[in-house]
Amino acid sequence: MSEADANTILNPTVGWILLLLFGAAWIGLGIYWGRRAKSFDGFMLAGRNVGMALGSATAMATWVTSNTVMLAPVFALEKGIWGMLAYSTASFGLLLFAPLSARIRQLIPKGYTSGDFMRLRYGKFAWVLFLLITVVYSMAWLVSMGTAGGKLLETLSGIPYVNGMTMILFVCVVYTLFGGLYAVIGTDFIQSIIILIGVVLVGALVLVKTDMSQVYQSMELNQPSLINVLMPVALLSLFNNMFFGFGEVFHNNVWWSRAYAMRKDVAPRAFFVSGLLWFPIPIAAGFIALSASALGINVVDPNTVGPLVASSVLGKSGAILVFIVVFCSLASSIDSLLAATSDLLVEDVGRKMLGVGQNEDQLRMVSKLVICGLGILTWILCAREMNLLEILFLSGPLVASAIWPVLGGLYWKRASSTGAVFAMILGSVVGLVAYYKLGWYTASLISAAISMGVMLIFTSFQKQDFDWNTISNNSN
Amino acid sequence: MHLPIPAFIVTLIVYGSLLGVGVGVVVLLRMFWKDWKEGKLW
Repeated sequence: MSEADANTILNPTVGWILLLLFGAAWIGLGIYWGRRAKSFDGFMLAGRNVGMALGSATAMATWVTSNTVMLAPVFALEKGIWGMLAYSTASFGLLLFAPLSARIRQLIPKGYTSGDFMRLRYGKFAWVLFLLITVVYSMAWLVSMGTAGGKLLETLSGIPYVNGMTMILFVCVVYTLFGGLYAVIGTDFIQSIIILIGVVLVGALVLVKTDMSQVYQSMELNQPSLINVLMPVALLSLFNNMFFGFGEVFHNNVWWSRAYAMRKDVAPRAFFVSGLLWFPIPIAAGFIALSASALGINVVDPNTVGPLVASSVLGKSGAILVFIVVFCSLASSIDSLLAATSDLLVEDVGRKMLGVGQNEDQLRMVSKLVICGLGILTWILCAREMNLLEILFLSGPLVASAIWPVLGGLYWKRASSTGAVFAMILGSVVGLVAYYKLGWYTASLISAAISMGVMLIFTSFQKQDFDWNTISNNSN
Repeated sequence: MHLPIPAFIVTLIVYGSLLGVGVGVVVLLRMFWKDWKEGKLW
């Protein structure tokens, strides 16, 4: 065993066995479910007939990223109780998207993407701006997942970064390619069950080995700020995370495509349930980091505190459990991003902007090429090991600037195109300035506030009444 | 100013979240069973 291998929590052979086992399972299941995709609607939107169980699970699983299970413990370690709760507020985005999904289906019943709505509601300029924001964000999210995946597998099992990252991307690209949204939603259900069981098992077993009074006393003695009611940075990050979550869920095609894919009566209920199911996950995954001090675990790298505590308390079985949960979290987000981003590129950029693919077969072929292209591009960016996590955080103010244009567009007759464009531009610019001048934990909050102010001002001054029928009449 | 969150609240949050995640598994499986029986999965 080499020195590098000796420093990892799991043996690389065990890591490879798990990776190949689960990779083969996802590809097999993806191909099996993908046989249902007989039409382009089937491939892109799973036939627009997804039920409550699969709908709730896919919304929840997509929102459980590797960050949820790995970064939540870091939040707890650095910002204490408020840090754990701050991460959980991202679930409010899913909860609030429930009524939005009903409105989306009412206004644009046969829509395909979030871009469709922006184009029909605000016109070309706002649409292009919105596409820029959402594609940049989606790519940053996709690449950050690939990078995080490679690094996590390396840390956990000693599998070299490039090999692990390549394997994860390869598996996700293959099953998304064969099965489209059918494969994504089907695998998401199984992945969500595994993630939930894994999180409960690790949390419960840690609680068996230690008890909360011991953990509390240790925090009170060694790090009292972690249990302080008034921790300004943690409180700010709570609201910042909430608004980042609103912006991400409200604008991204990952969620819009699911709103179109679910049955009309199912979508709002499924998003609401997924938000409720998601809320406790970052706390359950994060609290184990608080036990580190009580258990006498020396945390050298905060980014790996979750697996470190799990393996210290539970041994190899704990590390295997964390490995499986992390792999499922990565796959459930990467597949969704591949499918939704390719939908956006094919439908909005290819079909609507460039007039590519005029029949179902052509569109499906283009869609598959785009999925492969996205996979290759992601691999190239991941291989360069760029610091995409910072770009992901940087995109926070960008997506937060889209909250009010989306909300206004859905509900306010007087929301105007000019207002939406200025709200996105000014919100993004001021949010980015806040990111650098004040700190990341203020950027989304400030961007959303500026964007709201601009939308309100334009709505007050421009007395236009938008005819909602324009959207459904022009949507086909 | 240091104003600690009471221990019982912290315990409640942690145990409540684990219970919540556990309930989530049951809810998802029950919904799956119901949809599958009624042929409403897809």
